[in-house]
Amino acid sequence: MKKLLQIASLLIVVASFVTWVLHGANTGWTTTETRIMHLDEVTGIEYPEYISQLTFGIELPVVGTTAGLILMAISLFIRKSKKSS
Amino acid sequence: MNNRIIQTAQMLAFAFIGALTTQAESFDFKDPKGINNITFTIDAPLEYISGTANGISGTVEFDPAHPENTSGTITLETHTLMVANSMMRDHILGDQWMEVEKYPTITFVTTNLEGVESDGNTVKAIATGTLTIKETTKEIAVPITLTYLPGKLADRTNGNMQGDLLVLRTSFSISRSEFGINAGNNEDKVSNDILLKLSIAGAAVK
Repeated sequence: MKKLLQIASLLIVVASFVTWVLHGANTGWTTTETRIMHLDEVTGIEYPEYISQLTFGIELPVVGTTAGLILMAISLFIRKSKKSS
Repeated sequence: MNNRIIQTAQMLAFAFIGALTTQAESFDFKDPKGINNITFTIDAPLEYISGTANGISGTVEFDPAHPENTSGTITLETHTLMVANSMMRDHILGDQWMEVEKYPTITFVTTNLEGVESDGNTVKAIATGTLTIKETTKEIAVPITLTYLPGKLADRTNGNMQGDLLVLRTSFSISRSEFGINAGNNEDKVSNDILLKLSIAGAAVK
């Protein structure tokens, strides 16, 4: 159980960081849409278009690391089970 | 015979005076294509909050020969405020911030321009008027650039309509506290100052 928790904590931390990096390592907040600017050639006005796109922000690695640390802390309180000889 | 000559001369005189005297055109800023937009930016600790809104309508009277007499009303439908995070958008539209159900519009009314500088079809000036956000109306003076595009409505409508375009651009800041936008709260998380940039085009159909 102890080892399981430790492995799980490590996996959570690694997974959260990898996912965050794959989403462009966005150091801002998570966004659910992406804004793309277009140019109207007649008037010269730049105008926005929003497309649905989930981009994880800094919360993901922070929450992942926190969850991993909690699991690791819990694992430290679990005694190693003694194998009966 | 003499009466006919006099009448013809009078008609020609009126036509000549009419050609010399321009009249203000009425430009309609309702834009179903959603190109007309306002961008807002607010500073915050982690990153600045930036969004847009495109529910713009209104009418502006503009005479290229007398731009100082420009007047009109521009209205923004607040439910079109948009940011790239749906949860943040719900907060902005909600009871603590813009209260869009109670205050569905933001309005700017101007009656004239001051400090007018004309350069061809471009006019730079200060637009004085009143800005109404939620239940607060304040007099403000903002720098504005007007670009008059005669005959360009056809380009915008694939030749379906003839007329002129008027492009308005302005950039100015307001304070949340002055307009009751979650006044005095969360100033450590969200700046009190909001930078607004307006880029809109109106059409006068001929």
